[in-house]
Amino acid sequence: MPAESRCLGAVILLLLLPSAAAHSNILYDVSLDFDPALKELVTAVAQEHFGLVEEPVRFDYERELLIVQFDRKVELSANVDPSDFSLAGFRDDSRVSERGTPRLSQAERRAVAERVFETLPEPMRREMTYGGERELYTGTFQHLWYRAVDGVLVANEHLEVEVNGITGEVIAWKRLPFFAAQENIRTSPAISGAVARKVAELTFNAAPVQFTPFLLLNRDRPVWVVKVKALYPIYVWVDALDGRIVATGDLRATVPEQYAVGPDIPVQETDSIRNIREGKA
Amino acid sequence: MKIVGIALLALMLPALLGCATPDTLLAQRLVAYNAERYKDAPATGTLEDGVRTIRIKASQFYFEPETIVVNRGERVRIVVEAVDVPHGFEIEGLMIPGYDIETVIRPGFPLTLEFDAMETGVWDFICAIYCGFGHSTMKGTFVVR
Repeated sequence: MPAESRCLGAVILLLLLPSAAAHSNILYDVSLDFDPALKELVTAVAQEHFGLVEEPVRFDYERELLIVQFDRKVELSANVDPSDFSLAGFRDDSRVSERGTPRLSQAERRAVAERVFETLPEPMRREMTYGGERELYTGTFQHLWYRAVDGVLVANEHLEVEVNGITGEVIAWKRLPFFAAQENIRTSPAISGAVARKVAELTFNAAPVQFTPFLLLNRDRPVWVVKVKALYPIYVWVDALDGRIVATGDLRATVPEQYAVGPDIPVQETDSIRNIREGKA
Repeated sequence: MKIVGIALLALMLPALLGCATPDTLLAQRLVAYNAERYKDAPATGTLEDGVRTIRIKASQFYFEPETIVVNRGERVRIVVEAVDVPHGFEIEGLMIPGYDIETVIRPGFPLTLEFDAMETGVWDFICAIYCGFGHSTMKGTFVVR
């Protein structure tokens, strides 16, 4: 078959591929009736934290955490990790100031957030890196600590703390669980970011955009995050070990603005990729 | 006008030269490989009255089978049975007409879905109902080839 025909065939094949769908990480109003003990214990942790005796109005779910919601005009909820029934955060939006000027300096706000960070188990803290502060709304600042292995950010395994810069109170914090042990995580990509971007462009028949691919860890595997413009610009997660499209849509991870890890990490080609590159697979 | 024409030609040159850059070539091969990786896999389930019927058991925290392969154009019937606690079933990104992804599949009450597999591709299928710690790991692969 002539090379041009092979290329055309590949392009037609790509056009037939469906787009991977983005899926929300949050399930709202989940039922825990299948496990009364679980429901009772999770509720107890939340009640104890807030010093309440009332029953929650509903439970939500986000990445293995159960979010226990109480009936308030603004959100009052506790995040409970059902693996060990530990408190993994809370949100009390009654602590948000409606107006005012932040009186805490950035260092002071960070110090408030650090106090939450210090409550995490030491092995967890050891793997986390401070990811900076960003302003959210009316004097609220979010501080991030993300898990990193060999400097590569593990997606959605982080701590975020929201501090009221006016009152100095913690409005909310959330600690997402770690899934894979550090030693079971592969961090080196088997393909380059440039190849990953090309995979996304070809798959979605998309145009390139000005964006430097970066590397994340999706549980125990590296993924390239690239950005392309199909109908509109989308992020695409490309598995850095086999080139599969893992996810599309929004970024799907909390990543510090200055994060740019990946391009400098050497590609360690696997036998499988080598075979594909040489046309043997 | 000439300049625009030359610029366009320059942009199209790699394609005209047979997708020549090594990155592009590898990317093309990866896309083709991933599209065809299930080419030789046996189809899952059995043909019952011309309908490919697949029975899936959903347990904390896995599906069995975890990979489903069907042929494009087949009428597919998927029967999902919850073994222990209530589970859900969603093929992410694949619309199944008339199916509500929030449907709760309770033990003893299997869910039956029937649809035509008209589009080739690879999708994740997941448990769409919270079923305990480990819920997020409960996923499988649905392939139409």
